[in-house]
Formats: sequence, C-alpha cells, structure tokens
Amino acid sequence: MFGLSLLNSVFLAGLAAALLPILIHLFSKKKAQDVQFSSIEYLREISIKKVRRMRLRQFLLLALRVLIIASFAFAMTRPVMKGSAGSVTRGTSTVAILLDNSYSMGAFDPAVSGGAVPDVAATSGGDGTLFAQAKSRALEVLDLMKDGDQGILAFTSRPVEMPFQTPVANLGLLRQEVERSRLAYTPSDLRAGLEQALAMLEDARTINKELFVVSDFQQADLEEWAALWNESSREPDLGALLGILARPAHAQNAGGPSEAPPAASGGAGAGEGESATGVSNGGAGAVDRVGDDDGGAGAGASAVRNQGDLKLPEGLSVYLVPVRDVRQENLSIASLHFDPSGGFAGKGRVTVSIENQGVDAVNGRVVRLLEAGDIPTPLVDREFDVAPLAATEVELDLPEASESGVLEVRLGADFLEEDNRAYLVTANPGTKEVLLVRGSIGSRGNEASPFASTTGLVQDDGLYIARALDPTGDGRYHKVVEVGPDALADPASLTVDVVVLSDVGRLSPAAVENLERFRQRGGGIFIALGDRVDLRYYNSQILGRIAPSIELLNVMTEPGEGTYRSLRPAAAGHPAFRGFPVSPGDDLSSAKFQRIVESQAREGARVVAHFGSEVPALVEDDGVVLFSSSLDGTWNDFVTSASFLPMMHLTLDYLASRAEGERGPRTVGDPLEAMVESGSYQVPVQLVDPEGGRLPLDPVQQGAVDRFRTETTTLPGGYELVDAGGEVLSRFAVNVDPEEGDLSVAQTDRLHRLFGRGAQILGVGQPISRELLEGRYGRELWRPLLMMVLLLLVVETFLARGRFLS
Amino acid sequence: MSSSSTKERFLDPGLVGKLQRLDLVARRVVEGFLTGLHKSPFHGFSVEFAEHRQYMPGDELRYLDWKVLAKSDRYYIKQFEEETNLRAHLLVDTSTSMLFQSEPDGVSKLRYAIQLAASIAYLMNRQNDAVGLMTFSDKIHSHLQPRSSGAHLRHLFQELEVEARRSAIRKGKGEETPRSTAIGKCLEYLADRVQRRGLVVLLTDFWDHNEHDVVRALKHFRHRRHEVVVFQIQDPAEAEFPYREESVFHDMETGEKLNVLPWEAAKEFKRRVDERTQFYQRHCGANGITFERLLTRTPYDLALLRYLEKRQRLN
Repeated sequence: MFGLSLLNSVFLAGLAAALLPILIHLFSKKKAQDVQFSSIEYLREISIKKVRRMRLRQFLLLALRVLIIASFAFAMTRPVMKGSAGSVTRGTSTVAILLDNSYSMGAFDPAVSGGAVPDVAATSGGDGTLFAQAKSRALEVLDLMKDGDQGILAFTSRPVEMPFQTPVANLGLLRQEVERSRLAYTPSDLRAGLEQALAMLEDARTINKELFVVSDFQQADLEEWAALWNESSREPDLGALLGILARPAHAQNAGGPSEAPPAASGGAGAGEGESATGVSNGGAGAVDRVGDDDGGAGAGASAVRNQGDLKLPEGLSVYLVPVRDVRQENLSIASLHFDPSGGFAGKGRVTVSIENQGVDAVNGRVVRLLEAGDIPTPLVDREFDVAPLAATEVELDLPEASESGVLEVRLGADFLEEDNRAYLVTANPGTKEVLLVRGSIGSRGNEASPFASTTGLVQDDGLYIARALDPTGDGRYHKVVEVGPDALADPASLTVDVVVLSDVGRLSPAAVENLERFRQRGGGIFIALGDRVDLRYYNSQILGRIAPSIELLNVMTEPGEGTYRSLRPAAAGHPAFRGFPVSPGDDLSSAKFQRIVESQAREGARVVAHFGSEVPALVEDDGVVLFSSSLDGTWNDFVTSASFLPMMHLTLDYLASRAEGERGPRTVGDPLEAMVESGSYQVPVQLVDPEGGRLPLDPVQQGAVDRFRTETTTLPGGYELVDAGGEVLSRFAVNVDPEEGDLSVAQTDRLHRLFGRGAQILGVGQPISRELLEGRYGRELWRPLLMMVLLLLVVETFLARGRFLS
Repeated sequence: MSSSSTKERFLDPGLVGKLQRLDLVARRVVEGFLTGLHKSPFHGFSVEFAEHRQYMPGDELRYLDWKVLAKSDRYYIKQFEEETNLRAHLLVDTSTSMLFQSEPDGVSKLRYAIQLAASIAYLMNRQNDAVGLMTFSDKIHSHLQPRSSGAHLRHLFQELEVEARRSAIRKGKGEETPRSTAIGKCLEYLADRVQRRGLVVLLTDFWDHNEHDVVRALKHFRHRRHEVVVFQIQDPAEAEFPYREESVFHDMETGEKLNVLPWEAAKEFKRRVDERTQFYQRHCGANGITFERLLTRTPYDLALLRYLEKRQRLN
C-alpha cells in the first residue's frame, strides 16, 4: 500500500495554473465563419481526415500543456510516496523525541520493583525509575535512526528544555543528551514541549516526520491540557477525523495484528489499583490502533491536523511510548500550614495536608517534622490514616521554636519520593513589605468627620499607619508602598508580605479576586474600617470572598462626649499582643473609641480583641485580620496611643510570618525575591540552594531597601540568602508541585483525543521495531516528475510543430 | 485615351460586368479586343471579291492588290464577300457552382461565362457566322440552333440575360434552386444531334465528378470532326484557396456543410484542383481540343484570341 504526502504543500496552489491553457484555448476559440463555395467535393475528402487529426492534435496539445504545468506545480510540492512495497527505498526522517523528565517520572518502575515499594537506598541513583526506562526508550528510538536522519529532543518538564534549537543530524550528540539528562522537580508540560517540537518539525523537509512522546502520561497533566482543548471550543472529533487522514500509510494496512512481540509490561502492579486503561498492555496487538477500521487515505495531500489548539504537520506519525500502564499508590504532601501562635505553648503548629493518590486506604503511616539543616533533626512524629483517593490533615506541634527557621516535613517511603518532603520557613529575617491601600491618596483635611474635632487629629486614612510601620522613613522596619484601590487590579502589585486596607470604600472585582488569591497563597491582609466603608458591600463583595467567617453588623457610635470604648485583648498569647503587659480583658491602652463597627466572628474566625467586653475589635480569619474601627484618627484616638505602633508591628509581622510558612512563590521553578535593608549586609550576597550550591546575586536598590531576585529555582528545599559574613538575610522554602504526585494514567481515549486518532500507542516495554517504523520507507517524487515534465515538453514541441499527427 | 487603356477598360471583366445590357457588353468587349489586334479579323476569309479599301497597318500583305499598286502606286487591300458556312455552338454551364464569386468587386463564374459567350457570339455575328447557344447544368435548360441573323443574336442575348439574372439573384442572396452538374450527359446529347461540322465552345468550371464522361463527350465532338474550344472558368479563390480561418463551407450545388481548416486543406485542395485541370488539359491536348483556363479576373481578349485561332483553323 502507498500513501502520498507533500513536503511543501504551499505549492499546491500552483496547480491552478494548469487551468491557463484551457482558459487560453476557450477564450481564443472563434466561431467558425460560413463560406459559400462552389463545391466541397475535394474538401470533403481532405478535411474530414484533417479535421479529425487536427482535433486530436489540439486535444493532445492541450492535455500536454495542462499536464506539464500541473506536473511542475506538483513536483514543487515535493510529493513523497510512502509505503511498504519493496520498490521504494527508505527515506530520510526527522524524529522528534519528547522525553518527560517531570518528577513523577522519578517513580519507581513497578515492573522493576515487582509492585512492592522499593528500598530507597537500594534504588538510589535513578536505576529502576520510570525515567531510567524512558531514557532507554528514547535511546531505542535513536538506534533506529540512520545517517541523513535528523533528531529533535525536548525535555518536557516545566519549563521545557530544548538542548538543540534546530534538528540535529549528529546522533551521537542526541544520545549524549539523553544519557546525561536528569529528572526535574517540576511538573510535566507536554503541551509546551509539543508546541516547540512541532515548530521545528514543521520546517523539516524530510520525507518522514515522526513524533515520539516518552512519558508516564499522567492523567492530571493531560486533564489540564484537555481543559485548554475544550476551551478552544473545537469540535471534539475534528482532531480525530484529521488524525485519520494523516495516519501513516502502513497504519492503514488491512490485516492482522502487528508482528511486534508482546510487551513485557504489567508485572505485579498491573493487577493492582485502577485497571490499565491508559495504554496497551502488550499482547498480540501491541500497537493500539484505535480507529483502524476508519479507513481513510494515507496522508492526505493537504491534510493538516488540528489538535486542540495545536496544528500537527501533514504526514506526521505520532508514537506514544508510555513507561507505565497502571496507577501507582502514592502519598503526597499537598500543603503545609504554619500557625506561629498555635501549638504547644504558642511555639508554633504545622498543619500538614496529606493526599492519598492511591485506591487503597493507608493506615498507620508516619509523618515526621524535622528541623532542616545539613543533618535534619527530627522534632516530632505522628501516625495518620488516610482513606483511598482522599486527603487528611495532621497537626504537628513544635516542641521548641525553630532555631534554623526552616522546617521539613517528611512522609514514609512510597513509589514516588519527591513529593514525600515539604519545607516551610517559620521565621525570616529581613524587612517586611507592606502594601498600604488607602481610600484616597492625599490628605482630606478635617472637614469630613464629625469626630475630628473630638480627637483633634489630622484626618488621613494612611498617614498614621504609614508612620507607624516605617517610623524612621528609611524602610528599616517595614517597607511601605502606598497605593489607591485601583492598583489592586494589577496582580503584580501583590508581590508583598502584607496588604493593609485602610478605609477603602469599594474595590473592583479584579482587585477582590487578586486579594483572594493573595490570601490563598499565604499573604496576610489587615483591614481597617472608616467612613467610606459600606457594611453591606463589604459583607457581600469583600469579606464574603476573602474572610467569609467575618460579618459586619452595624456601626455603633457612642452617644456623647465622655463616653467611649477601650481596646482589650481577648486571646492570651496572640502574637498581636505578645510582650504587652496586659492580661485578657484588661485595657490595652487609654485609647478612646467613639465609633466602631459591630462585627460577628462565625466558625472559622476568632476574636483576638474586644471593644469593651463584648464587641469584637480585632477578628482573625485565616490570614485576614479585621480592625473594627478606623485607623485614620477620625473614629478614635488610637493612632496616638502608645500601644498603636507596637500592636501594628506585631500584627503585621504575625501576618507576614504566616505567609512565610505557606506562601508562594514557593514551588520549584518559581522566582525568589527578598528585600534587605540597604547597608545592613556585607557583599557579596549569595543564594544557597538545598544542595549547597551558591548563586551570587546583585542587589537592585529600591529606596532604603535592596531587592534580591533569582529568576528560577530548580530544587525543592530550604534556600538561604546569605551575605559575605555568613549572616542569613532571608530564607525561602521551595516545594514540589503536589499535583504531579497523582500517578494515575490517562485514558486511551484522552490520549487519542489530544494526539489524534492516528497516534499509535505502544505497549509498555514493546520494542520500537523496524516493522513499526516501516512508514519511513518511501521516496520523493519531484525528480521523476521533473523528468516527466521535460519529456512532455519535448513531445509538446514536436506536436506543436506538426511533426506528429500533421 | 490611349488605345491600350481603352482596351483594358473594354476587356476587364470587372468593368464591363457593370454594364447591364449584354449586347453593350459584347460590343465593348469585341471592339476593345479588335482595337488591340494588329490584323483585321473580318476580311480575307471568304473567296468572293467585294471591294478595295486603303491599306491599314496590320493588314496581311497577301491581300494587298499588287496590280493596283503597280498601276497607281497606292496600297489597296482586296476585300472579299463575307460568306461563311461556319456554325458555332456556345455551351454554357449554368450549374449552381458557376454562381460562385469570391471577390465582391469581381464577377461570378456564370457572369463571366455569359459575358464571354455574348462577346464571342457578337464577334461571330459580325463575321456572319452562325452561332448557337446551349445552357445546361445536369440537364439542358435552353438550346438555340446556330443562326447568323441579327434577330437570332438578340434572341441569344435574351437567353443569356435570363441566366445572368440568376447570377444577380444569387448575388443578392435570393432563393436559388440548386443545379448540379452533368457536363458529359449534356455534351453527348448535343453531339448526337449536331451533324454538320462546326465549332464547339464550352464554358464551364468543370465541377463534375464524372470527368471521364466529360472527356468522352468531348471526344465525341472531335469524332464528328468538330473543332472544340474549352474554357475552364475558375474563381481566383478556387485556384488560390485564400481562406485562413476555420470555416464551415457550404456546397452551393448540394447544400452540404463541412467544417474545414483552410490552413490544413489549402495545399491539398489546390493540388487536387490542379490535377483536375491538368487532366482536362492532357486529354484535350491529346484530342486536338483547345483548353484554356480562365480566372474570372482574366481579361476577355485571351479567350477571344483562342476563339479566333480556332476560327482560322476552320478556314
């Protein structure tokens, strides 16, 4: 069987030029004129024969000219005839290999470990992992390449790495890159890898174009891609339909199963957990050819496959090479939550969220909290149980405050080690960055508030907070950035530790959404009220999104001069009042509150301080602290009391320290950034990674502070920014993305939907045999076509000059 | 006006063809023709002496009266009574193919033939020769026995006028009942009926596929000791085939249509036409028949000259 594909299909348009001779013929043809003549006795004998010959000659000339132009245009498209017949020779190929080196590929190969959780120490060095198998599969593909072939290599962990920016003919170089490739600690991004590889494949001018994707084809990875696919609103069957058109010719051969030997996949793991639906289990028909009965031509001459939002080049053969066909049991640390004030005697509590990615319940497993360092020191262990495909939370109380400032949480061994560890920072030196969002920029004077005369203070919704947080004005204590409410619509403005909203009236939906994400990332939000606050709007649009356990009820105003409320701590040992010589229920200071907002703390929120004895004054709800009065000197004179400055410092430091434990950018691959007071360190400053590697960083001065930033991270663990004197300027905890810990395998349908119906899914361990690659056999037809054009030109010349049929 | 230009004007078929009256045509042609001759065709043929007249340049010296010259030292030519027993038959092909005319300013073959026939008849009448007429196509349409009277000549002209009107009707694209050609049959008919030796003048285009019948009939005339002059009248387009574009040719005799590529057919057509002419030339030559091919633009003097040659031979 043969299939025809085109290497340069843009010239297909040239076929239209073949109509020119026909058009010229039609337009130049005149109607025969009538002639009265004596007798046509002689003409009859002469003309009937002549006219017949002439018409035949004209037809042949026209056909020849059409054929010459069409053949030339067709030759320009560089047609390729592919097939298994012996009359054709093997053509050159451009082979793109997408090698998945995401950290899920570090899972132990169940075929090697026999389905049991392997001994980590015995399998150290990467042997026995899926990635080792993937590398050998990639090398297998390279072994099938010959001189003249070109290779494209892409490592598909995020960000995708392309060792070579053009197709490489040196197979040794490709082999070397594969052999020395390493696992990354980031998730897979097959789609981005595919995009880049396809961009290079599209320019390839070889007869064959092949794409090998060597991966564990995690369902989680492909779900995200599939979601994009759906968003593109394309008809689901379009890719499949076009995929059929572009299937390699040999894939359409009618007949029995492939002669490829049965795959050696499966093992003990094959019988466990979810059935192996993702890929073929080997066996007689090891190559999964879904849609073989669809028929269809080889590679349609102009077929372009639209795969989701990707375009697969015409004639591209896609081979999916899975390295795992069963779902594997795995526990992963989904998140860490650090409560600096929680736990035993307020020394801190770490809440670990653990997900069971397997279909079996896990009982009696241990989670351990360690003090991170060169030699991690165990602090506390706890056993836990978790149901299948469920998550559980385990609380680990620190026996002592962390000395190093970095804690490590570790789970027991399972198939995937990389997601069994997570890190958090409990204390971080350095300046906190505060985004102060004011209801308005600039002083409003005293005219607006009826209490201004009472307090005798200048009314300004940001003045006192800014002065309190940065009393020296040089960013030594906090770096304060003052903005208006509109600035929150830009997510880039929220690269700070704490956001303070002071008498902000309304926020745009985008601003609220950004705040919500900021809080979810671990950022702290401090809210002070004021005249601009509309309680109903706050409840529905702001607190309802970022602190749903807090509700504002009504504004309470003291009836007359001399009546006021005082601020009293309610929770003992809360960091906001740490160091204050007061007990719960005592007045914090002599500050007088004449106007407050009554609020309610529902389940999930806690009252940290009261106005008087019963009205909540300071309410906390998971990273959000609400102060139920103003901080602009209008509703009270708290801003001039002695307790204002220390309470604000403690509260914001508390909110910032919460952020240290959980907040991103803390997954591998994300940038790290720190603000350090200018002149407070010795140059050079270096970033020390978890393996001890040092990266010198240059500061960027921003006012009184210097900003240090690294664009990416490659390892999970604790990072330290240290100066030349060895002083730690900032700490970071970087963890792996927990979603990659889901070791379930994508369904066959999903794979075909994303890669096209023509994609061939190999069995795990099935050899990538020559038979499988017989589609490489073929040859280009432009040379014989041009020869034919020359021959036709000669014939046309003779015919036109009347040498034949005259 | 010089004599040569007058001659051309009188003998050019295109010019004289514009004249409506055939007797005028004939007179002009004959007078024009005679003006160019160096010897008089009218006298010297009969045996009875009539009178003397003064010698004119061009007169044959054998008719010079030597006696008068000796006596009076004046040159006189002896003139004789024009007495003749010559009977001439003008056979004019009036088949539809003879209506063909390719040049708008020219004349059709039939018109040419009629004018030529009228001129010969006029000339013969001037010589007191008896002249008859037969018009035919695939059958005989009219037949006038030879006579030498002036009334007969007018009658003859009238018959020719009838045929000339056919040509005019055709030129105006009027209705025309096609006439095919059967020369041989018609000649045989005449040959069987003309007993007395005479002159036969045939004017035809020879579009007759029974060529051997034609030759056989001509031989028949010769067998009966007639002198025969054959004028093959051709339109220039028949000889040169000047067509260049693909055309649908309509056969004027049969109405048949044929798609023709002139550039492909011209060479072969001309060859076939030449072959036919050569065929008749060959057979005429072999049988003592004068054969002359005339294009419709050929001046009449050539035809008249051929006639006179034959006329002389008969004497």
